[in-house]
Amino acid sequence: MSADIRVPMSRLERRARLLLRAYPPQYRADRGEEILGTLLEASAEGARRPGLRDSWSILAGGIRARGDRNRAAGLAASLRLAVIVGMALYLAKVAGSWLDSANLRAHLVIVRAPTGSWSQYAHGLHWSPLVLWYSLGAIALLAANVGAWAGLRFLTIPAAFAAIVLQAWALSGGPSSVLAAISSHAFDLAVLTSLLPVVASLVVLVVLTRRTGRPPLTWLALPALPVVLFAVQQVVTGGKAGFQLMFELPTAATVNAESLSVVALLAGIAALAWAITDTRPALGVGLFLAVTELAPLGTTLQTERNMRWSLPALWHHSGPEFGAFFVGLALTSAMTLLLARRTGPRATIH
Amino acid sequence: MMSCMASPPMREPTYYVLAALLAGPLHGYAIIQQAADLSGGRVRLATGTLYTALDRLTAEGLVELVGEETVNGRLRRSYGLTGPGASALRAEAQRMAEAAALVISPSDSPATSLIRNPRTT
Repeated sequence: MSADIRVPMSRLERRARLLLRAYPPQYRADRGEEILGTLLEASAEGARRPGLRDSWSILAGGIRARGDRNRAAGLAASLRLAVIVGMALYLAKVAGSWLDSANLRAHLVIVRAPTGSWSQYAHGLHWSPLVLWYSLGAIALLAANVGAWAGLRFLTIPAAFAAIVLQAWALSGGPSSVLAAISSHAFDLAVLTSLLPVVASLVVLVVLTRRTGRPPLTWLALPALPVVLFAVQQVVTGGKAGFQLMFELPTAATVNAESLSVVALLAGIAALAWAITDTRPALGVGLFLAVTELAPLGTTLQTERNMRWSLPALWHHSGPEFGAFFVGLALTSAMTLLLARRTGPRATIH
Repeated sequence: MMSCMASPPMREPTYYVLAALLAGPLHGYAIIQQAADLSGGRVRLATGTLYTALDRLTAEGLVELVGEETVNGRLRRSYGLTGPGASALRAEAQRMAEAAALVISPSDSPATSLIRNPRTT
């Protein structure tokens, strides 16, 4: 691209260029200036920012371009990515539950466990090795996927993991106690059985996406569901209910170590979400959040064999979150299937 | 999973992007303006939507990059209809005309005459 005259960048152009970062780097290098020119021409005279419709369409186009690029990456790479996301979320949850169990009022609430081995998450220095194992595993998988990403963005994921792990590690009393815990405790199969539904869901999700090639925007509805449900829950309860699944907002507005841990966790999850340029892992987020409600339910079903298999009974035993996620998952799955039937497979665009 | 006909019906924005290129190659903003003019203001393409459509239509072989130029220091690309693109546009127009004829000129429509004189077996 050439410019005969260097003109200072207007505020509109600065904001438009920021919007264009939604597109993947290679796409931006190929077409960014062209799209920018059209965006500036389409903006109203004297406008200081792109219009709402244009802004939304650029963001949507960027996500779509990233989704198309990632679909071209191949099934193996996509599976790795999906597993990484699942493990990242699982790690965040385990770290959060550990912080809570350390009695630090970290404002991180574990998934409720009526009975069974999940209740051990509430007590447990011996769970901290799992934080280490999973974080090492996630970082190793990330390293294997370095080729799929470019730039510094991928560094935010291991950095976020490292921050969570180091914090948990330091609070646990240091490396020696962790090493002792490693040597004295084996892997609990319950951990693996709770992880398996997550991984299986993510695998199914990726395979289905590969076969149908649905437009990526449709899948975003599912991970948006927990946010919507949380908002509804807060409205209904007058802001009194905590978000039982991941964390609750601090009640005191003081900056302390506990609040910082929440901030670090949120920053880590936000960094992970940004680094994930494919919406299939985003759907994995939604599935993960739904499936983690199923795991303690499975434990409940094992111990309460006389429980009637009905939706009200499931709702009663696992709480409204399970019902809401299950219904949301069912609705979104139906919606995406209907849309796929209508639109059909899409061409892959590089 | 789905029954496949030759091609699914064209969405309205896609139709007007192709129709905008009927008279000759155009660059991005000109396509947006022409589509709005042809549709009487009904189809107002957002920038991102336009380039998503152009990507898809280029991949499907209905549209092609025709030229590049630098205007006021900015890159501007022009797109034009390919042969298959013109055919697809005409086919879609024909399909819509046949559908419209059912309502606008019912006496001329073969389908309407079938309704009036159903075959009995």
